Amino acid sequence: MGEDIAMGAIEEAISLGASFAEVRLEDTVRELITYVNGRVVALGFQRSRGAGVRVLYGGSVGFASTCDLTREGLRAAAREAVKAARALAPGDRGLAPHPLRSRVFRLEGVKLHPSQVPLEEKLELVKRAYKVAKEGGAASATARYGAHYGSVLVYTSEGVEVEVERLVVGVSASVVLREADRVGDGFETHGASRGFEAFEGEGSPEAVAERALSHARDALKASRPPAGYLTVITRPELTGVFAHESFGHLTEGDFVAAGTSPLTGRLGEAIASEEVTIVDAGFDERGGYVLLADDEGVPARKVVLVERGVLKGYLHSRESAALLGMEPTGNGRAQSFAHEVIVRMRNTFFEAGSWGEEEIVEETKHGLLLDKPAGGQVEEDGTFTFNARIGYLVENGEIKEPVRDVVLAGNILEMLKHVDAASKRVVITTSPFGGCGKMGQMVHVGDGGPTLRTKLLVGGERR
Amino acid sequence: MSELLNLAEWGVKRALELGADEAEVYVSAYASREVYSEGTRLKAVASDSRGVQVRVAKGRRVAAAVATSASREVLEDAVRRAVEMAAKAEEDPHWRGLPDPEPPRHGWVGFDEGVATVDVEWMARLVKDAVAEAQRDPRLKVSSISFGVGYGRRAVANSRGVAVEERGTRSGISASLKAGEGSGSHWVSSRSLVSDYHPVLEEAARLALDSSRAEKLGETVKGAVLFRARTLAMLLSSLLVPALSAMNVLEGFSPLAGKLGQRVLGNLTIVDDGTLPGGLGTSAFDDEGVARRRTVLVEGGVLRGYLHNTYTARRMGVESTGNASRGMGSVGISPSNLIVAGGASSERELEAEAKVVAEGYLLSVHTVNPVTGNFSVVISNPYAVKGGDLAPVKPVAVSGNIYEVAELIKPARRVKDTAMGIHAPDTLIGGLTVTG
Repeated sequence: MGEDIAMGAIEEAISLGASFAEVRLEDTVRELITYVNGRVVALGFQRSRGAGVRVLYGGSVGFASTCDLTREGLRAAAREAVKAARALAPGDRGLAPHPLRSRVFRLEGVKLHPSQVPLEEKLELVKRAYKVAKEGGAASATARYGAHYGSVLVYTSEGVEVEVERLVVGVSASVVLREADRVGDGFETHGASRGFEAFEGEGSPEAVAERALSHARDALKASRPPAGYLTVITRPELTGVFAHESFGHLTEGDFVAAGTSPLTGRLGEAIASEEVTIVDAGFDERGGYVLLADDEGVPARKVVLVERGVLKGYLHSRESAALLGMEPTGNGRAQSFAHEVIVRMRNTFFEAGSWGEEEIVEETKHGLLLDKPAGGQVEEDGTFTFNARIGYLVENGEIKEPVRDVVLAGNILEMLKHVDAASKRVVITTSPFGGCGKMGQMVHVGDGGPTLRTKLLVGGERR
Repeated sequence: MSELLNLAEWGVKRALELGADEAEVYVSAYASREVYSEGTRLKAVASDSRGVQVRVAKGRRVAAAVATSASREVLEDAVRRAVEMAAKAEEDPHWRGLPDPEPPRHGWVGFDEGVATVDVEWMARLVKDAVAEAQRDPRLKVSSISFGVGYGRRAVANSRGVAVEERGTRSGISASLKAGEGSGSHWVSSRSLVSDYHPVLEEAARLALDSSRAEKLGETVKGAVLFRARTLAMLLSSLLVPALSAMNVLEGFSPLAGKLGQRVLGNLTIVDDGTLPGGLGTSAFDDEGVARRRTVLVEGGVLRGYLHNTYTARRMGVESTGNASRGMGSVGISPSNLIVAGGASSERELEAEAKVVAEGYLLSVHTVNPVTGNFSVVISNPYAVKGGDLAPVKPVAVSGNIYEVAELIKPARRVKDTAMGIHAPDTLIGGLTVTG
């Protein structure tokens, strides 16, 4: 049935003069349970079914979406897309050739798919996390369960027919501790592109809540960090924000093609210290999100962005690849059928270095060891900020008192030159609750890396 | 009665037939058109989305189901699922039922036929012209210029007799420009049709050109920062709005819990007004069909109330403030239009008292901590105040705790529309640490 309505829309667009037409059908489910202070405050199930139609007309791209999945509904969307593209024509846009014709991408080895798990068991997950938080002394605690799964089908006028499975599950715990007039908060998420087998061991709700508690306990004792230009050691989760937010966005092919990325035209150039290797991959054995093919049906290839300090690659959709005469890398993604494909990251991480984690701290005279990212943002020129909820002062190679709510700022291209240590251990994480936002679209991503040491501007308190 | 309300009422009936004690169905339709440029290349996007949101209760067991379509078949499926989930859900001891029907408190309609019917070809021409206009200055480079319009309709019906529907429109223009290493962006947004891109380009160009000659502040200072209305609005949205939500107050995530009647925010006066003509957040009803109204939240620094939906209001024994919003699987709380009252000083006077003026936007503002009031943000386009003059500086980090410096907050006289659903004056906040 999918193929039938998709073909109708493709024919409609071509008959109206489009040189290319593509239909992307989505059928996905998003589940969410929010459990606050022993009470279910959200118990939700969201089904997303719809279609997005992209066309090329006179060198311009038009996109229209609809949730009317009838033959006529899709034809109407195709007409709308052609009309939009025609309004912009003539243009110089195209699409890089698709590497596939027909293929189905499924996640292998999923044991207990969330669609097969009864609601009671999902409720049990959040209750288990909550119990640990409560027993650990939380004044307030929130536990969440989330899942996103389903499939995306891509049909094009070139004869492409690709189906891709999507899956990510996770639990999170957030706790607030109160002692006299002090407040300490901690947050932890565990996510994976797996079934419910992901909630075992370190991924169990108990372990997640325990880690949130431990951060909250430190936050309770923590003071504001010192302000200034300091040596900063970032733990893997925070390193990941670095990789993704501060660097990854600059390698996105649309920004490169528009000439607004400071990395435009710099392939082969040394832009970072030799300790720096950064990768964007659809899949990595060490964890994160699994994206086998993107929302254009292009297989996700592993892209080495920086290798030992040298800029090696950009991320591409079919559109951005065409603009630069390069090949698509499987980075064309859309939040849903109602959104157009733009260039997005998948799992972006720094590769391992040669240091032991303790060794990095021991070799640091004065600085901050930081953990638990609370998000970040980057501007087109590479100016970034990102925040750490919790961290510790490092004095003469020893970890000292905790600090909290630390904002780090700088320019990534300046900062990458100062990376002088990376640990052997790499951690990559993901989450079903949020992801990466760009141009109003949110997609699931993963990020990570080793423990890194560099120098950054820290916004804190003047002491 | 429209097709949307018909569908909502049918859904309520089905839920009751399937065994729900109470049911509520929210149906929405949203059509948007956007033409934007990636650099100088244009792209056109149209989206036509529909959604149904079902909330049902069996006794005190509540569940929700959501779907991105608005056919009977999809709604039937969502209703069935919600009723099934409610049967298995836990009891909520605080559940006191769905809202009761009530008449609207104002008659302003934020709908402009001109927005709903605008043609994509005209939109494309406007963006092409705007791109060409921006390129006239050889120092500038276009990152992106966008023109978007949206037309939404929604209906809410419940088993207590709520049956409301309304429509609204919105349009906006934004520009993001570069000048050398510098960048600047600006936007406007309105319930009616905006088409004049010149002020947007001029403001983005000013910020970009200024930041291209910015120097490092080169020090860490403690003192006052003058937040322009927009940067203030960004800070308040992330830091204060969550703290004013009655849900966060009830669950222990707000530092304002138990502080009603106490002076917590210096001299600030903050009002939520869902009836404000022209407001981006104005409507007749909130997302559960409760009439929008005007609510004083903070008066002369004294906390007077919180933002409520029906659930939190009944739990705290007060009236809903008409601030229910819809999220995935739950009914949340959002401000409608937030209005920060003006003070006694002129903007010039406040500039003279500031170390730094915050323009552009706040990076990482979503990472501030509303549970404690701690914030640490980076100003994209700051200006250092030197001998009465404003000199652009590179982005600086600003940190502090909003409640600790509350007595050092000074709003200017003139209240401005920030195009973010917040009307606020430029506001000086003292006692902050600035690093750059």
